[in-house]
Amino acid sequence: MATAIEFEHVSKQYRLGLVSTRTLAHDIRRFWITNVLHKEDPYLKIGETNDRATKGTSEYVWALRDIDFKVEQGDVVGIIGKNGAGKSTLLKLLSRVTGPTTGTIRAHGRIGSLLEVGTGFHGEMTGRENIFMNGAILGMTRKEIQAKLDEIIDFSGCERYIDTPVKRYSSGMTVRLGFAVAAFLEPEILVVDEVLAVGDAEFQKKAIGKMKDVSQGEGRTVLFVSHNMTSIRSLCTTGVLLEKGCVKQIGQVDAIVSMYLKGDSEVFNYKNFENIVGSALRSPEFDMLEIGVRKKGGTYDDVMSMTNDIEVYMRYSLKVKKNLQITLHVKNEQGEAIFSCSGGDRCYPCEHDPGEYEQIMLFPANFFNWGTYALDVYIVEDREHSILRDYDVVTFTVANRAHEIGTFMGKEPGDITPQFEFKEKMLN
Amino acid sequence: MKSNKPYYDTVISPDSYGRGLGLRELWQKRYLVWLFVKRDITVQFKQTIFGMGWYFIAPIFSMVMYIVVFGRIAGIPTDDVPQPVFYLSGICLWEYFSTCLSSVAATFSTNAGLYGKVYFPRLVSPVSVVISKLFRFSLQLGTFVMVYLLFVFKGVPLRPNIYLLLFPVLVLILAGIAIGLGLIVTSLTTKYRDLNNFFGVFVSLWMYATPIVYPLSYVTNPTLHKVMLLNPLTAVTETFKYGAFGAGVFSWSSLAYSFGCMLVLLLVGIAMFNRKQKYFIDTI
Repeated sequence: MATAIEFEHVSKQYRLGLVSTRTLAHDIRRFWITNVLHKEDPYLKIGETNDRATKGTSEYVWALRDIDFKVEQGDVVGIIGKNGAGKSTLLKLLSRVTGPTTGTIRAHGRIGSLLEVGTGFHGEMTGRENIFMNGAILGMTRKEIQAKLDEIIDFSGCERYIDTPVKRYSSGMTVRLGFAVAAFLEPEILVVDEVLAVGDAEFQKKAIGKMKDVSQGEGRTVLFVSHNMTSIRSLCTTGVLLEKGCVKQIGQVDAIVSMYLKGDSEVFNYKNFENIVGSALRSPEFDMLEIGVRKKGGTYDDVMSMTNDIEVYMRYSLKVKKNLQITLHVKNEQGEAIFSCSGGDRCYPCEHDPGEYEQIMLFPANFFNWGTYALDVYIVEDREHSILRDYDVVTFTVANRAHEIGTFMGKEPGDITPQFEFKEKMLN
Repeated sequence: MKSNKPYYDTVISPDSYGRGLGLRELWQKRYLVWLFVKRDITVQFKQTIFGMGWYFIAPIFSMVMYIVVFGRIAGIPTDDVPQPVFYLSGICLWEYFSTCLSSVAATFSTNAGLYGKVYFPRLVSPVSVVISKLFRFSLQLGTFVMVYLLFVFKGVPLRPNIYLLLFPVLVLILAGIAIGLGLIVTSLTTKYRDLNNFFGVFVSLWMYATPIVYPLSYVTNPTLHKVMLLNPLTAVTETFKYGAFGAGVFSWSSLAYSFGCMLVLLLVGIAMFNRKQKYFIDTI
C-alpha cells in the first residue's frame, strides 16, 4: 500500500506565559544571536519535553517533539493520549492552521480538516447559505457543493428549516447541519477532531456510520482524535499513542487503546488511607484504612485477566457501635455506573461493635469484559443513608486473554461477559 | 500517479509558505471571496433598522458638519465648487478608504476564531473586505450623484470631463493602498499591540493631510505643497474632483506616483502578512 502521510521529525514549540511581554527584546536578542553571531538559537532548548506537572527550566515548551511516522493510504488512524499530549497540536499542523517549528509533513492528496463543526456559520444567514459558506471554507468547490446539496440537506435532517436563518436553529440542529456538510467533504485525507462528541445519540450513530463508510467503502485516509475509546475502537484500524509530545507507540488500535488505559491506571488499584490527610472516607466515628483490587490470591502488582477471580479488599476501623454496610458502584471507562452492590445482612451482620474490620468482596472469573473500571465507595448507615462517600477511589484494569493465548482478539461489546448456561438438544 | 508530478502534493514544513505572494491560490478561491462578500453585505442589512437608508443619510450628516465647521466658521474655499458636492465627494472617497483600511488592519483579530479552526488562503479575508465595502461606497456615491444633479439642474456650472473615466483606477488605488497598509498594520499588531492605538490616531490625522476638506490649490506654501504631494491619496481626491467638477489640480505624474505607492505597499503588505499568518495562531 502507498503512503498517504509522512511525518518527518516534526516538532512544534510554544512559548509559555504572556506572549506580549518582552517580546521585542527577545526578538532582538534572538535575531542578534542567530543572524549576526550565527550561533544556535538560545530559545530552542533541545530535549525539553512537555510535562504539565513539572516546572521546566525554559519558557519554551515542545508541544510535539520529533514526531516521525507514516500513515498508509486507507488507514483510519486514532490518535490518543492524555490532555496536553499533543493531539490537537498535531491536528492543527495537519490542517495548516499553524506551522511546525522544525520537520516536514508530506501528504499525497488533498487534506480536509474538521476541527470544529460548522466553521464560518453565521446566524443571520439561512441554512442553505451556510452550507455553501461552510463547504467553501472547508475546501469544496461551488460545483461540488451544488452537486451534493440535496444529500447534505437530507443527511442533516433540517430540510424544513433550510431557508430559515441559522440563529433560529436549536444548537443540535446547527451541529447536524455542520456535520452534514463535513460528511460530504471528499478529500483524500480527512482530519477529524472530537467533533462527534456533540449531537444526540441517534445522530452520533449516523455520524459514526458515515465516517465508517468514508474510510472503509471509499478508501479514504482518516486521522481521528477522540477521548472516547469506544468510538476510536469502532472506527480506527491503527492507533497512535502520544505522550508528552512524543509518539509512545503505534500499532493495532485495540492494543494501543488498552496500553493507554493501562498506562493511565496501573498504580491506582490500591489505596492506603492511613497517610492521607483529609480522606473523604474518614470521620470521627469511621475510618477507611485500605482499599485495593487484586487477583484472588495475588498481589496488587499482578495483572488481572478476564479469567481470574477478582477481589476487592477493604479494611476499616470503627470507634462507636453502628449499623453500617459498604456499597460499591462500579463504573466503566466512560464513567457510567454499570452496577451497584453491597453486602449487608445477606452476607454479614450490619450491627457492628467498635473495632477494626476487613471485608473482601469477590467478582467471579469471566465476569468483567476487558477494560478499565473505577469504584465509587459509599458507607451506608441504617441501610438508608450514606454517611461517607468517595468517587473513583480505585481504578483497575482487566486485561484481555491475549496474555494467556498469545493472540489478540477484538473486544466484545458491553462491560460484562457473564458465562450463562446454554442448553441444547437435538429435536429429531 | 503521473511521473512528472511529485508524489507528495502537500508539503507542510517551517518554510512551506511565504514563497511567492499566494495570488494564484487566492484566484483559485475566488468563489470563497464571493461568499464572504455576500455574507458581509447580507449581514449588514439584516442588523440595521434603517437598512440601506442609513448609508444614504450618513454622508449628509458629515457634509452638513463640514459646511458649518470648515466652510462657514473657518471659511476655507472650495475651488468655486458648491460646498455640498465638494465635501460629499471627499467624504465618499475617504469613508471608503478609511473603513477598508481599519477593517483590513483588524484582519487577524476579527478572524482569530476562524483562522484557528481551518486553513484557507488568508488573503481571501482582506480582499473580500474591500470588495464588500464597495457596496456601501456605491450607495454613498448615489447620494453624491443626487446632490450633484440637483446643482446641475439649478444651473450651477459643474464641468464633468473625460478624466472622470479614471474613476475605476482611483478606486483601485484606494483599495490597494488600504489592503497593503492594512496588512502591514495587522501583521505588526499581532505581536506589538500598542501599535493599534498609534494607528487610530494616524488614520484620523491622515484625513487632514489629504485634500478632503480643502482643495490642494489652497495650500500655497511651496514646501507644504510638496509634502502634500507625497501623500499618495492627494492625487486620488484631486483627480476625482478634477474629473467631476473641472476644478482642482490634475497631473499624470502624481497619479502614477500614487499607483506606484499602491504597488509597493501591496507587495510589502502581502509579504509581511504571508510571513505572519503561519504562526499567527500561536501568538494570540
